[in-house]
Amino acid sequence: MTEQAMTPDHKFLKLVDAYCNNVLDAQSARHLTDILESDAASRRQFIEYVDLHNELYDHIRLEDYDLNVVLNRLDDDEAGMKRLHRRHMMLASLASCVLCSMLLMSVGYWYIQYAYYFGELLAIANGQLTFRDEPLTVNDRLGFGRLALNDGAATIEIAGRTRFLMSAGSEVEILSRSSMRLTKGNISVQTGGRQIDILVGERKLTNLGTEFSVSLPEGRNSEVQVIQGALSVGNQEKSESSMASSHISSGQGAAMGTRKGETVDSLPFNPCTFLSPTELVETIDKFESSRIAHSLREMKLNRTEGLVLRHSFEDVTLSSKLALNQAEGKLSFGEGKIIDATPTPGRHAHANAMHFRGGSFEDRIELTPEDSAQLDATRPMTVLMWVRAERFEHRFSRLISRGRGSELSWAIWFRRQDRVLGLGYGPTKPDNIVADVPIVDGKWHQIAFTFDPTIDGETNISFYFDGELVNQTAAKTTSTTAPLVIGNCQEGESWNGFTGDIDEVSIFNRVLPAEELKQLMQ
Amino acid sequence: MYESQFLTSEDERDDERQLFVRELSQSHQRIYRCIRTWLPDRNDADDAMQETCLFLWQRFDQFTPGTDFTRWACTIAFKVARRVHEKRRRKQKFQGIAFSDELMTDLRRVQEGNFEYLELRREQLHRCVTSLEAKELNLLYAFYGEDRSIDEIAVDTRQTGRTVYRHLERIRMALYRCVNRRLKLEDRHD
Repeated sequence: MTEQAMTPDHKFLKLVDAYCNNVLDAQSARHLTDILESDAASRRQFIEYVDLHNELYDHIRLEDYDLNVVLNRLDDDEAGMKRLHRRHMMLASLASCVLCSMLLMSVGYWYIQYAYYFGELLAIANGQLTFRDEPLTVNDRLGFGRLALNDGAATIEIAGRTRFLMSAGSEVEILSRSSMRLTKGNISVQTGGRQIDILVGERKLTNLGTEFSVSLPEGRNSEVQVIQGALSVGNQEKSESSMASSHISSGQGAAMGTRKGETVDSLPFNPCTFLSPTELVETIDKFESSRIAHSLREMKLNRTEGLVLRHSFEDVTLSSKLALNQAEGKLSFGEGKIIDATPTPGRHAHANAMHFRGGSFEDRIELTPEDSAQLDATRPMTVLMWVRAERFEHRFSRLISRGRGSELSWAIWFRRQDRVLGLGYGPTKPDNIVADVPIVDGKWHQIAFTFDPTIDGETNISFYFDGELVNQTAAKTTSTTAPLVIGNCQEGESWNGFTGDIDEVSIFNRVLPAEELKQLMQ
Repeated sequence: MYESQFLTSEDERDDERQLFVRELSQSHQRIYRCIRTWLPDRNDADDAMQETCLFLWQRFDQFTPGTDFTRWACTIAFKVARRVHEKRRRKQKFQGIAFSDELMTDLRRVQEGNFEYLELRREQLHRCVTSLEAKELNLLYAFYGEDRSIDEIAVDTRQTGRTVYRHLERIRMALYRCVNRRLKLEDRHD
């Protein structure tokens, strides 16, 4: 039966129906009364409808109708309903099975993806990360077990929120979705507010903030750097556990001793971000003053095309080896020796530089002649270094040089006489390219010289100070077999040592344009 | 003499009572229907029915045996119902339906004037009911036959009371139109 259109007749019948069922409201009652009083046809309809209603009340009994007709239809309907019911039950069972299967698969998938393999390697740069001794590639899942990174850096995400950055040589054991053990190297952790415990030896570091670094240098006590937020350190179960041997430093590099359970609040600092391998390297500035940042910075520089020598003076107490490009543009360590020069805080927090006493001291870093061979002024070359000078000590205080006297190929020096910085070249009577720059002001300055040989046998030499070109010339340069020496001259009758600090010496086998030098200065 | 007269009167009274009871039992349902025409609320109808029965017994001596007891009873019932409506009208705060005497008289006149026609409609109604779909018949049977409330049906059928009411309303209106249609068809055949 279809719904009739709402004609006046239909509306009236609805009123009468409501009257019969005693559900008329006051307004409808008045309306019905008005209609009945004014319209005779309505009165007849009213009586007919009410009579129908009453008849239904009095005689709607199955026995009042043709039982066979009604019951047969009811039976048919019932049988149909039963068939339909059976069909529905079958479909429902089938659907239930499918749903259960899907549910089980979903649960299984969820378990594998989020309960068992709850981590993911987001990015890796310059190295290989292994999980349970199996190599991982980007987007691979990981869970409980040991992670080891042989080189470079890697970003791993745990449980969707916690991210940590592993640096080369680090080993981490994932214990749960919210705890891990650092067994080697260092990591930076970014938790997004989630609590995470880092176990270092017997100590438990509980993150109360959002970001911190943990370093576990070989043979040393662990170091913790709170980058952002706060960190509680200590093992509540061991009351005698002392943090005296531990070390918490602020983002600004200031170190402070702490006791068990002591919390260090954050200092203003750029937050870490964990991005793609390229971005990972690009964002090192955001890790300013982080130990890992320094290794990342180094990694970025090591990727620079044509880098043949790099000395950032890290780990000088452990090794006197220098980073040298020996073949195919890949950095490896060459032999060298550090003589008397001592480590000192470098340009970046948690990074070293080397201090040279100058004067008559022998302080220097000297490469082997073999390793020095390719650092020749007759070839395309860029020499880049950071210097913080204390004073003018000698007539010529050498910052870096190859050869002396008749063996001189090139040397960067300060000249006391006129307080200028320059480059000497030529074996017998060195010609000089100089610039009057404020070198002795107690600040770090970047010094760069480029050697660009021309086809007529001369070499275009450009002199940059703090990224700006300050002088240039064309001259004839010569080769030498003398070793490269940093902070002094080659051993001879006297020493012409530099007094101050030198950091991040880089030599490239190509001429770096000014723009690139500026970028490296950043 | 007195005793015999008394006994005779008692016997007559018994006969009268028996006759009244017989007539009333035969017409009870139809009298109740008459009352319900004017008083659709069950409580009102029950009260009015009780009062009507009292009146009928009190005035049974006015009833002429052999005539239509139901019609006579319905006239009394109408008067009782009219008094109820009159009381309602006097109540200023009464929110329900309250017909005027004139309107009730008009409606009563229509009802009496169409007595046979209404009988015809009832016959057609029963045919229309048998043409209902099973679920509609079930609903109709549950509401009228088993005398269950809309709320009870709503709970059983897991529907709202409003939905059940709308469904019943549609069925009744469809039956009303079905009866109209059938009577028109019969008119044409005639």
